[in-house]
Amino acid sequence: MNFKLHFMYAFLVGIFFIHRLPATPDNIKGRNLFIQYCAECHGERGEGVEDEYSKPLVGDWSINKLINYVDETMPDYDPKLVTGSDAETISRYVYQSFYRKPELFSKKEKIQLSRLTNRQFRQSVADLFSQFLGQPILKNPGNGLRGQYFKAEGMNKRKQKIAERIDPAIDFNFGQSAPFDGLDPQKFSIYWEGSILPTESGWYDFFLQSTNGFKFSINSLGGSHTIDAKVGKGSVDEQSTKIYLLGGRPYPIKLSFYKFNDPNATIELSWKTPLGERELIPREYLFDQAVAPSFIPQENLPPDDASHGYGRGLRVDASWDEAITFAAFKAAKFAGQMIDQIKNDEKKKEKVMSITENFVQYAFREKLTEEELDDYVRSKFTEGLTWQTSVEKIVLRTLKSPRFLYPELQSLIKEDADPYVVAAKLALYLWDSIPGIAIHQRIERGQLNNPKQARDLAKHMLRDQRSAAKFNDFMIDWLDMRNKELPALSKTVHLGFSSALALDLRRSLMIWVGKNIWKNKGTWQSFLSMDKIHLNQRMADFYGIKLPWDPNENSFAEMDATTLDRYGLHTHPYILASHSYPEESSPIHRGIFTSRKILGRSLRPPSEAFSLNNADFDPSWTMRQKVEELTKSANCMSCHDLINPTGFVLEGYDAAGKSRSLILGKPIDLKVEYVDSTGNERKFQDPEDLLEHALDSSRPSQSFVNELFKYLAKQSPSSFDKVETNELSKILKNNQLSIPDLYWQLGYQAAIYGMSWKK
Amino acid sequence: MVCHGKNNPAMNLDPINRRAVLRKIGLSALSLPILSQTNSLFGESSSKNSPKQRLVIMFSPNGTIPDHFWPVRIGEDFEHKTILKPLEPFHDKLLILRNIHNKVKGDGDNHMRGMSCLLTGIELFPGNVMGGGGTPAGWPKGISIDREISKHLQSQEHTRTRFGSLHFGVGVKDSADPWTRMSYDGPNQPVTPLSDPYETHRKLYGNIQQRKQVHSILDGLREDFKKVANQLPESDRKLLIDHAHLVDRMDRNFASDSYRSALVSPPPDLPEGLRNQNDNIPELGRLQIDLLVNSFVNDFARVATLQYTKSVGQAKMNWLDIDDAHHTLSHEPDKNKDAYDKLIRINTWFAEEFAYLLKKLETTPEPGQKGNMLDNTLVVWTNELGKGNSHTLDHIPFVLAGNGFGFRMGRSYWCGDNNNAHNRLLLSLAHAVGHPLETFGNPSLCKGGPLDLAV
Repeated sequence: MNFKLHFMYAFLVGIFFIHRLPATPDNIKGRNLFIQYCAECHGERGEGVEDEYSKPLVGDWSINKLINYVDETMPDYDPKLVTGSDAETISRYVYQSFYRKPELFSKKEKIQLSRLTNRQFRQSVADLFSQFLGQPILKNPGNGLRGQYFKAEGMNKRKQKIAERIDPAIDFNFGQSAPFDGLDPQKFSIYWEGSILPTESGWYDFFLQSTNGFKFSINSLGGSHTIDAKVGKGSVDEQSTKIYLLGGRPYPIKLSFYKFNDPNATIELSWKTPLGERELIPREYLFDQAVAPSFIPQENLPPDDASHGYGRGLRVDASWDEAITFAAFKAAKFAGQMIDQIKNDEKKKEKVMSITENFVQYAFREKLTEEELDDYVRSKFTEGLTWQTSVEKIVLRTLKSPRFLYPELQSLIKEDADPYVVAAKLALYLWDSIPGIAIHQRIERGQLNNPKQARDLAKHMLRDQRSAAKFNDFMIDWLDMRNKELPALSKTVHLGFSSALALDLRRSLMIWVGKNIWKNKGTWQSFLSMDKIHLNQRMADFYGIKLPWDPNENSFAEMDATTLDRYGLHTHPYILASHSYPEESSPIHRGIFTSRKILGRSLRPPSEAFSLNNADFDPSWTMRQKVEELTKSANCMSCHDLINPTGFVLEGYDAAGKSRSLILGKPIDLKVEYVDSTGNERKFQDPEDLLEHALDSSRPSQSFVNELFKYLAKQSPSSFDKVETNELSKILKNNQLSIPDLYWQLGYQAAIYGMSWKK
Repeated sequence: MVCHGKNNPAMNLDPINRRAVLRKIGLSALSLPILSQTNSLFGESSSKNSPKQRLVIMFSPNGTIPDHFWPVRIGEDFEHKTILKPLEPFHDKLLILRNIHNKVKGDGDNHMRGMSCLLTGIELFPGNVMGGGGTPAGWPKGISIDREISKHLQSQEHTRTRFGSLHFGVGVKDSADPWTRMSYDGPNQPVTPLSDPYETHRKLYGNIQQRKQVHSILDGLREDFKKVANQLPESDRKLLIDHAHLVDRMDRNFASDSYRSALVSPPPDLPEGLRNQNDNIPELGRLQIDLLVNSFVNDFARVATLQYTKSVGQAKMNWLDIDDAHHTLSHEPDKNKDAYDKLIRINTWFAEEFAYLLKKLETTPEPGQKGNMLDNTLVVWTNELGKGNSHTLDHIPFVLAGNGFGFRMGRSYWCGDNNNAHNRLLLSLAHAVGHPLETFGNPSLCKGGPLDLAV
């Protein structure tokens, strides 16, 4: 079998120099040698050369590693030119003058004007309408849908309610009997109501299967996303509806079921999530409370620029503009319908005016002047136009306006700390959205006039479900899940590893993120060490664990991670299985994840792809032996000395993440040597040692904080020189700050950055 | 649900070529959603010069008032009673069919069978929908004649059109049940009519209406861009300037008229913001008729249905100064003079709308051919009941107009045969388009074959 292996050149990232070193003979010699052999590709000051090595020569290798690397591989056109003491002199010069000083190269970046990203656009439009439809919020709900069971008579399907209960899933076959005593088995109806809370954004298909009549709706607005199959077809009928949903937001569900003399009574409600697995909707996504529907733009939007690892709105083009226009048009139509439903009496004019004026102000995230209100709103209500048409035009213009689409426009124009600007930024950074009524009211009451009040607001906003949803979305990036298929392992080698199980693994991880890290305010330690794990029956069966609860009652339950031999986030079965080959583990993929995420080390993307042919190796070799053989050249080792050990230490888990003690009948060698970023050599015996080191070092939290900041603000932290990412990562590392608290602090600091508050 | 024309085999244009073609003629991607379901926008019809045959079936609900509807005299010199008075100008083009009954029995109340067996001629499945009488029922067991004929026409190159058939609704409530659907694509396959003219417009002509609305806000938008860009430092303006160019681009696209000129007849303009509600039924109906005729001119379809409300429809015809709901009125006994009179007025109003449709067809020249469109069209006006308060399925009103099917027009006709089930009429329709079915719907109701309406 052929495996494609990516071998990475680990170099370090950085920039420029001008710093005086003492003019010792060694330094002078070092500089001369550098100019002679290295400057052609790295620039005279290590700043890099276009088309050669374009990045600044900075990084986190130790001096010994650097010397060794230069000795063996540099200059790359003839490594024999620089060896021995020359290699050491050059390396020491490089190391001291700029290699460890990335700040020398950092150009002051400006905060860039950008448009709403796709997530921000959908979220903002949804929340804009929710100001009028009601924000959908669940308050201590129970899992499942509320089912009401009715006697039916003739055309009256709800003649008399006989029973009510919470149904954890909709999957019934009542056969020829009635679900409750007191119901006529021939004629009854059921009405289920509640909501669904998907955790991830994307396209969802809902499938209804029944031998009877039914009517289903999900987040229905003006009849959208409704399946009307009241007329039973006598045989099994399946119908479906497709809908784009934003994760972390509840949507109303309604389902009516009618039996009338049919020979059978069956109904099943299933879904296909964006990950593509069709299944009965698990109970943890269903809730017994109804919520207001949300207007979610359903248009396909061209993907955002993700070249920096997070979506940014840095470009506009025709396809984006057309998609946005179409979405705005649909939104305008919907607004028109809403207005149409307002009772036509003498107060209608006043109501319509006030709704529309607020709509524009919420969309623009500020209070408009009388003159602006005349321009955007009042002048549009002219003779001969219906309310509906006027409102459509206003909404269309508003959602197409740069004042809506460029959320940071005002902050680039204004210098004083305008409370509306601060609120807009907070909503953007913490929620990817707009400030709603409550925040506008806070501002009007004069409660957002100083940094302390802004802090309070940020803390308050943290509790909103939209913060949780955005953090969840960040974790999808951070955990390498974005646009990634579920792990598909060989079903013959890993018996029982189905796609449903793969989905369980991913869910298990995300449930932990939502509950243990977000809801319970997890610390850095609890994050990296992952001392709890969530299991359902299928996972328990596969990993050979006995569950302490009745699987009918709970889909997922929390257990100590050690029960499953887990020692840290890097040992979660999803992480292990998603970094594996179909049959065997992949130490390289696992090592890259562990180095980057758990240890915070920097790795360059692969510059060359190698193809590994399994047949080239002795079949009795372990994966570790094969990888060692393949990566033994000095060039490879510049990265693989970091990747290999952090991957080999996880070899105690097979491709499916099951613990094992033997490979090919031989005991597994887990011992590895790892050189940390200060050049100290460390010995890891197992994943727990690696975890201990990660908790001890400062790089992992620094890297995490930087990634989170970039995701929240869609800008580089270097654009915000006063934002204390380093401070915060220290406090985080010391477990004096929980991850959710880090979240609002970053959002808060980015929001007030560059604002001068009036006394 | 059914998507009309989805299976049109002529649509299989290579998507890349299609896009290239669209770009060439200057269509923006904004109009793509609709064009993706089309192929014959560009005058394809001009190559089809054989005489066309079109069928329209118009439906109005809740029975008629027989004494003021049916002419007493059989033959060419039949008289026009009150309800049919509006059709007098079309006397020579009418064929009034008398003594034809909906004989489909089985499950379902008379409204349900009246409606759902009207064009299918076949029983309803046993089901879970309970009406005001009879036994509960589901959808019918077969296809309806409009879809059958359309399928036949779509199967032949020279009669194939973009959609095949189009289904227009006026005030049809948003509910899928046997009282609300008359067209079926097969057993258990109801076809949903388009009840909102704006939706129809979009289906037929794409996003023109949308582009028009977008166009109307572009000036304001330009102002916004100018204003904010001026306040920004030079270095931040680039993105906004790029964006403003896109606004201009949209403007130019709107100005380019190639899309419209590719049509034989430009799409009718719709008034802004007409609400889809009871009080607007007259205006909504006229818009749908205009759209229907326009779709024929552009040869988008050869078959259409036009459904006013639904069986048991409860329209309140304020425009006739009638505040009562239609179906409730239809239950009143004949001796309730007020109700009786109102029902005559209601049915007369439907006849006026029918006449409007006929007039529209008659005054529209047949594109590329001699004569007018009514010459090549058969329009059928029908109802699910013979009479409202008796709920009878006997003497179903069938008024045929136009010369499209080669029937001998200008007369009233009494079906005196042994079998006067309406299945025979449905068969005649199929035979008239060269689709000689032996039976249609329930075979036992087809005895005697198609009615011979040509002599």
